[in-house]
Amino acid sequence: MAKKSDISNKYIIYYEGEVDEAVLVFFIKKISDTKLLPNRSKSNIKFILIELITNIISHYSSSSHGVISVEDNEGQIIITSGNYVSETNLKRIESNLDVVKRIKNVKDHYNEQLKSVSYDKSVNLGLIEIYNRCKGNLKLSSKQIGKNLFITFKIKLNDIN
Amino acid sequence: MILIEAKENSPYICLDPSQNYMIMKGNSFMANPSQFYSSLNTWLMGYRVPDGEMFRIDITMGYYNTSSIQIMNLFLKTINQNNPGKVNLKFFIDREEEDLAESANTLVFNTGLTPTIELF
Repeated sequence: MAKKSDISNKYIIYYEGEVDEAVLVFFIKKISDTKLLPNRSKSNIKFILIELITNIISHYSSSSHGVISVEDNEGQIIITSGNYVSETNLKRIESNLDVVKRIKNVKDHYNEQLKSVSYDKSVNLGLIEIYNRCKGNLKLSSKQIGKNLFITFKIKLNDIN
Repeated sequence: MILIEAKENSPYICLDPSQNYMIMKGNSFMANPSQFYSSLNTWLMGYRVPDGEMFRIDITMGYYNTSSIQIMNLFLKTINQNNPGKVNLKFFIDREEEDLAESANTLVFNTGLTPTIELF
């Protein structure tokens, strides 16, 4: 596993390489163990990373290569994740994000979606969870790399103390 | 009887129908939770709590991804619908992990169950 951590003072953790469940476990353990963050912030970061990384594992296209980092930017935490996606998945994510952005009460929307779950139907709650936890401070971008699309989430958490 | 050992991202589960008891402890953020929980769901479909008895579920909360939340929420809703008034649910939550209490509320949302909560 290609791992880099603490590559500069501002990075709490940085990873670039194949993304799998071992990487997810590594990130969660690293955030749990760091003494640089208060517990409440750690918890928020862990929930966001869990959704971002399980999403990469479940929906990557062409390659499971990804970039994930958590950095401290003068008291603001910035979580970044990037991975390859299909055009269909990119459109789905952009469309889901547009829906979430228009929702007034994100938690109520989450609960309504959860109510509709059945043995024949699951729903995508991950994006809603992330959006709720970062209070909407989320930017999505994408770029074409050769024949592939690379999607990047940049999430900011304020008031980490 | 279903017994599953814990991993860092999946919970310990001990389900003993002969004792009307299920214990679940730890994280649940695996990439494919439907596969992980399939044995529980298969068991659930054919199970009814015997007359005059109660089924007890103890869950020590860990970190759950939203896919696991959906599956466990549906599990709790179904066991309660199939056995109304016969399921006791208790959550054990680390008092230093406030967000896990929120996750527990989400797990039980709209299931009809009223859990007891013990902080440790």
